[in-house]
Amino acid sequence: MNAIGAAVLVEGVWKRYTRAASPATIKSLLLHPGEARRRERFWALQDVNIDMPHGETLALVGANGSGKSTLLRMIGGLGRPTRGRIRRGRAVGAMMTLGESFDPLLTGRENAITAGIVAGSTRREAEGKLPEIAAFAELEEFLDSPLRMYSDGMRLRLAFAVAISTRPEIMLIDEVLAVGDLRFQEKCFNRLAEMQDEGVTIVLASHDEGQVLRLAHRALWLAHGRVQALGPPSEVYDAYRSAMRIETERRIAAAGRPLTHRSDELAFDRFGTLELEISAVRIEPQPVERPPCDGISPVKIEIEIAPSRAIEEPIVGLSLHRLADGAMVFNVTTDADGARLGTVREPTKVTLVLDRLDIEPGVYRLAAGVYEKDWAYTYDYHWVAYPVTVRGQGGFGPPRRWTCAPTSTR
Amino acid sequence: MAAEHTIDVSRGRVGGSHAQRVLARFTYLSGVTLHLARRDLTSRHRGSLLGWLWALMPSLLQLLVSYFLFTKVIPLRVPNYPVFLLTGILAWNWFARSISLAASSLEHSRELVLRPGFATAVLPAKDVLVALLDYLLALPVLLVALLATTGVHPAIALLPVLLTIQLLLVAGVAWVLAPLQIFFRDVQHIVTVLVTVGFWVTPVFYARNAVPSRFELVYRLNPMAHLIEWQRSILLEGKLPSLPSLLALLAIASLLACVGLAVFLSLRDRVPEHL
Repeated sequence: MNAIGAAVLVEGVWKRYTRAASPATIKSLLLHPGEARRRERFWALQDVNIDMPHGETLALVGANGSGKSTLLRMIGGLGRPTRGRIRRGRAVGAMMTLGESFDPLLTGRENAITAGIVAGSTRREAEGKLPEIAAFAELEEFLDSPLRMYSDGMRLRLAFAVAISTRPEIMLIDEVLAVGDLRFQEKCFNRLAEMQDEGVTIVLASHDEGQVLRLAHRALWLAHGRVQALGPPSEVYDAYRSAMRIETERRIAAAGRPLTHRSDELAFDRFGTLELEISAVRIEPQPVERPPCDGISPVKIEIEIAPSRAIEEPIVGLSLHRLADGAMVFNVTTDADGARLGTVREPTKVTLVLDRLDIEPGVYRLAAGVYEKDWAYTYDYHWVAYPVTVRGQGGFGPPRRWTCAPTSTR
Repeated sequence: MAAEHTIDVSRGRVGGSHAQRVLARFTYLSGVTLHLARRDLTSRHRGSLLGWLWALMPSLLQLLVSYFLFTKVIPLRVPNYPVFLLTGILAWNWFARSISLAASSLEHSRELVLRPGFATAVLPAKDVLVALLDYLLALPVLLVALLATTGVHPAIALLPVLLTIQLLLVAGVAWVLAPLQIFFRDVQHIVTVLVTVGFWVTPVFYARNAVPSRFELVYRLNPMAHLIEWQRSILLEGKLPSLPSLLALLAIASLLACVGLAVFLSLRDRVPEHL
């Protein structure tokens, strides 16, 4: 049994990083001896306290650079806190950088064995798990092909299958659940749920609200390295959104604008500081035709934004809602997808191309928003403003092909 | 500012006494090291026509060129020069290769360094083993050369001891260099320069007794000079080195390995944020 009551105990952890422009060289030390002291220091984590019971799943949420990955690394023992301490069980597994250490010249089998050994198995255990791993990754026929023949998706599936075949006490996961197609993702979720049932303690850093609500027992919201809220995921997200609303309202009041625009000519609700304004949203084609089952039928969404001053790295978010019941059918943001807008100084057009819009025919509304780079407040948000009609045959699913050929008889 | 920093790792589910756990951990870590070394070699030689022969090629070419140079151009007049030369070249190349590989071992295995629970001390050790396996692959050539010339003396039984001393020595240096390279990217260049200079100031292609006695101290302080000289005396002449100096070097090498590992472990926690 564990000597401590909690699976993970984070007590008053602070972590200070020294931001260095470039790696130190002896030359730079000799030429600029004071340089090391003049470099910028900042706190990546400030007074973080967590007490995780065994079997709990905790989601770390917050903007990029808020300290999620640093906290995950500290819990994993990669580096020491500047202050405070972390206690946890020894057997820790991780899905943080999937498949980066794979060797492209070696076969899937060889790479899977290496990954298993590196994750803490003996060679015999790693070999014993191979059938299970190959079956989970659906790569049985390719196991003896060199990894360079694998597609990105196959490589990630293999890495995920290896990571998930271990039985650690604590599993650390960093934004890697969006692996492969929907069906494979579903399989991964089910395996994680099994792990939860087996009593594995999971710490998960995620951008995906759906994922967090589905998997996590509690969520921890970090901003600038500080804990903003820790509690049930839905409440943390509520706090997250209301903090954003409060900050937006504070800024609107400071600018002396009315709080919410109810514009008759636009006929929708609008909310935000308008430091960066959404001036137009276009969806092409309209109406959207459902793609044939094997093909693509691209849909282009263009958002024109106009800044009142230079805006650094704004985030653009789009969500589509079914008119009948208001259900959200998809939600994407540049932040979660890793797309960067840079500094916006002049009117700019942001374009999102969807290869297929695989949703049931019907009438939808598109909501568009632009947000501060750390999600601190809203520049402009158009609430379910833009109509989208989807036409075509019912019954949706992944892109697919049917083929038919005579069976060879021998 | 009083900084308190500890990571307490409570004991896992592993049962048994403390000694058993340490032994199990050691067995596991040597397994990992061996496996990673073998993986590197397999990957390096897969798909090339000559495969494993490439491990021998550089040493053999170096042997041919040096032999030509020091018998025909600048004759050194060392008896049984080919085998004399081969012994020196193989031992030196193992040293040089493992030091250069190990210096960048953390830099080149980013994913493993950033993996929670992975014992990163394995990585420099792995590179030392990779170079050792190259040495062992060339050993049959050396044996055949010995059989064809002086014959194999019983003193060859001492070779594993000399190899162990060199292994400990090189591992100690490797454990210091690998984390330093992360903090100062110059380390790799310094190593390259030192290895090049080291080749000339170590008796690899010449005999130590040809060196004027006023430079004696330089050679006394160079452990590789002793190791190569001893290798030659047991292989070529069947003469054993003096036991006290052998034990002294073994003690120094063991100490260096321990110090190297201690340095590595104390720097380890600062590596991830600089990687």
